[in-house]
Amino acid sequence: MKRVSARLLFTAWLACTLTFFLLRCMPGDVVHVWASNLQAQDGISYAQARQQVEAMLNVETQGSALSQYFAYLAGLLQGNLGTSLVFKVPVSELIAGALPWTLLVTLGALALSFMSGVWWGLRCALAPGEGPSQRLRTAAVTLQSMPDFLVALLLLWIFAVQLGWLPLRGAYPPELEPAATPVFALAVLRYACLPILAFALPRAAEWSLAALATARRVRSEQFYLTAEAQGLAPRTLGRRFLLPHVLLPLLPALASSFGGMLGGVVLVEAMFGYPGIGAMLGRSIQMRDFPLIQGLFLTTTGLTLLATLAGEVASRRVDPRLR
Amino acid sequence: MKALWRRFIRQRTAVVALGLLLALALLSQLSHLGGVLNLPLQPEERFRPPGWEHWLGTDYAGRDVARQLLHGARDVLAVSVLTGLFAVMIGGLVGICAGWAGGWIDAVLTVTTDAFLTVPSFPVMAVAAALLQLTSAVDFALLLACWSWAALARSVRGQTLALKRQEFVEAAELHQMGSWHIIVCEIAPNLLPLLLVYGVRIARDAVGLSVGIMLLGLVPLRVENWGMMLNMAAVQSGALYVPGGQTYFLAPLLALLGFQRLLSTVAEGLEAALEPVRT
Repeated sequence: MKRVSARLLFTAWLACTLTFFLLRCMPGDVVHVWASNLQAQDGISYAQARQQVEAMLNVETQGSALSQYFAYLAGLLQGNLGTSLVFKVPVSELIAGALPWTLLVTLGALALSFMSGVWWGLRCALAPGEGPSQRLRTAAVTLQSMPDFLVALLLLWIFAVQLGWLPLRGAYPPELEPAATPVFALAVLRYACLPILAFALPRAAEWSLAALATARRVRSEQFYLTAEAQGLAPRTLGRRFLLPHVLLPLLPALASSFGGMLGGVVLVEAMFGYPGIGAMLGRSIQMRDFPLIQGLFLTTTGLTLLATLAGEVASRRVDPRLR
Repeated sequence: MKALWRRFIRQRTAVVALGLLLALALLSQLSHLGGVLNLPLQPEERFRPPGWEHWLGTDYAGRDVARQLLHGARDVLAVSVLTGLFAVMIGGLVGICAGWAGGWIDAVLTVTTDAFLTVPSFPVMAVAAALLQLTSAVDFALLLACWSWAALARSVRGQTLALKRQEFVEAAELHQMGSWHIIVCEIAPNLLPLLLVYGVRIARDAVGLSVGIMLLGLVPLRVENWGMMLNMAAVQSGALYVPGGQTYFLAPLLALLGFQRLLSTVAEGLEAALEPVRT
């Protein structure tokens, strides 16, 4: 556990440091350019403008690079992510508004892909003969290597453009006010369908392949053969003897799957015009809104690290061999 | 190496896939020999469905889609192959160093590898590509490779550790052949299969990553690039919603999926050819 925490802390530090240097080693003095813009725009003195820009970015340009760096880290530890240049509101507020949408889509896709993938893999492993397993492999290998944003575009084309069954863009119909009503919840689900499917399809294929491989290995083990020889019903066999052994090695992979989705969210949300943190990151890069880029990137990394930690803790809890 | 090639030749589908990729590279290169693709804008010809004159229809400005697709293939291929090459170099070096040196070097390299595996890579690459204004295929590949080597390094490290305990390496050590000689002549050849398979897979994933960055419109690129075509079709020009624009949208999309499938097939063929070597 200690080693895991140390590793995650190191990764968090690396991410913070990387953003610091990436955003500050850009060609040209970014602070100077903004300060000049602000000076012209608001009619204030250059010193004032510069001070404002520094406050927005949570940077100090006085002092050495090292002292700047420590001031930045101290600001982060206090939860200070700076103020967005474009929207003129604290970055943390913007992120808090967008994060629920991203979590809805990613966690929904995680649950859907895991359950359907494992179910499909087990079914094929238990089916008599080689046929089902072979068919699953052929289908899953193709699906698995598809990037999720291409799946997103294909789904968009089929279900939204050609068939018109599902909405094209957004998270809920514009004429509806966000409220805690069943109508609104249903609308949100309808709009989340395509993004969730885009994430879930390639990942379900991955899970099914992993489940299939493990299940086939377990099926040739002594305890399973004994249980089978006792004439237990296939249902009981699958649920009591196969499922636990298949789920256990997959648990830690849940965290990395979630992390992968957080990375892919930039593209998939952009394809559907979905108002989560991914689409926001894409737009903030286009508009060069540095504080927002920094905040969004750190949020994504933080969530990935949390998921990794949760995965480690969970597999330790569940697996007696790791205790 | 020769034995490897002979076994790979026997994987018919993989050889066919490799041949198709080479043919695509050749055709695209031929298209580049004519210089920069400068198709005239013909607004009255916009969004034509596929036909004799335009095999894959026309785009939002009446330009031929098929020629753009072919012309753009070279950049996609170059970025993909170069990323695979660079990532194999970085990952191989890090993995061998960590596995061979052990001790604190191993500890530092392993923690770094883990960190690179955990940090979400796509946002970093997107930000870096946009801010650095990358345009050439080599720069692009270097950036992608910087974030694609970690999984490979981990496998190489494990394999190096396993090889270190093998008799032929121990014998070489007893002969005092020196670390350098052992790494280059004894260990590296045995890692070759692993590096090859990973290299092809990284090349395949790099296609998705590079096109994704272009799809977001973050890098300045010409219109005939596949990512830019998708961006234009799906986001900017609205070709997705016009009956005649469907092929402009579908052509780069299916080309990408097909391209990745071909690379997957090559990787599978390589793996099958290497099976006896690896066990």
